[in-house]
Amino acid sequence: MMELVSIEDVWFRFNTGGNVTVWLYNYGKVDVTVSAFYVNGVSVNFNSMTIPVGEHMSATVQVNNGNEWIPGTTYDFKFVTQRGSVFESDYTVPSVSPSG
Amino acid sequence: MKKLLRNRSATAEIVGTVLFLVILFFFFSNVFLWYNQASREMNQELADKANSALSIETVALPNTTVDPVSTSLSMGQGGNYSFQFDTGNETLIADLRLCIYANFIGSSNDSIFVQILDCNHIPVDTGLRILNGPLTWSNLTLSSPSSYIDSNGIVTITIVDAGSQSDSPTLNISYMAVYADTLALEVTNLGGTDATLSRIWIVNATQTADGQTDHMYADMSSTAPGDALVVGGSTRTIMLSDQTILAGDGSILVTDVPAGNLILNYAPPAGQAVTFRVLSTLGNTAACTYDFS
Repeated sequence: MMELVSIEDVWFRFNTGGNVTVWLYNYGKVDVTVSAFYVNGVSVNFNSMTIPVGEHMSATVQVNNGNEWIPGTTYDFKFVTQRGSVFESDYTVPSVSPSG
Repeated sequence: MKKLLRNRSATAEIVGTVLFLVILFFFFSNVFLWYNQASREMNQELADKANSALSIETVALPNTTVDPVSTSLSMGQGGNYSFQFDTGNETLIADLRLCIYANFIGSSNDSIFVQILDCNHIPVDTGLRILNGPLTWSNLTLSSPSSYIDSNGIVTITIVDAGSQSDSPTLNISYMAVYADTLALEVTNLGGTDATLSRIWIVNATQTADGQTDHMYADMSSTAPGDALVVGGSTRTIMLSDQTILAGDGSILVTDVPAGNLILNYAPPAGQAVTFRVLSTLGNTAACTYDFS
């Protein structure tokens, strides 16, 4: 109950085969070990990481089965900690500039 | 009673039971106290979070005057005069304000228009008129400055005699200036509990395929103690810079200025919409987007 995590930034990386970098911030009272990551309810391969109190940490994960991100598509990201806390939010893939 | 006291086994059993109950009571009361304290701390944390919501918005800081002009000119029929104002930096201007204190002396049927050149050097009527008679103030705010600032940062104001009279009116400009209001970020604490800023994320709304600068952040914990604090109900102004400077860890450097404000050493890219998202140490976030095109 003392675990509080904010998903502070989600970066859909293009031309990487569906990689996403997620930044998490632990603003709770205890260290948090994030042990599982679900995208649209499906578990993805994720190395658990421990975020000390007041610290920010990032993880880059391949999510999209090697497929490129499709701008405008919304994904549900859910993180589960070792103690069972769940932090969840929806994110939409941004558009890509024509020059990019 | 004497019989009971003489029975050592019974006495020991009673004393042992009482001690066991005391220990049990001590243990469970401590568990309860610990749980109670943890709940209180967590409730306080959540209450503080709920009472320190943030908002962030882009604002125009009215602090830059560009080369005021004062002159007296004789204008022929259909004549015009152009005045150029150098704004210096195109991307960090939130709006342009034009202030003119002028009149003309000539035929009362004359009309003197104030035009501004757009970025393609095509004159656009500002709607301002310089009148025959006493000096009068004319003020105008242009909210899309990039439409009127050319690639060299120049704003051109043209005064045009559009009257039909053939006389040559005398134009008196007591004061004419273009104010280039600087773009800044304003973070407001909407609650009554103080909030401490943790990070400001700067995200390009349209991502480049291989861009390494699409998602950047400034670590507010690197500032002097108190500078990242936004007192309940108050506002903290964060100015942008004309160049991007990175700290040792690759984040955007934040520097303190004597007035207590902060400078985010980030030069926004021209032609890109950028989202600024602030995160507090209590996990509150707020975002705003500004189009630098």
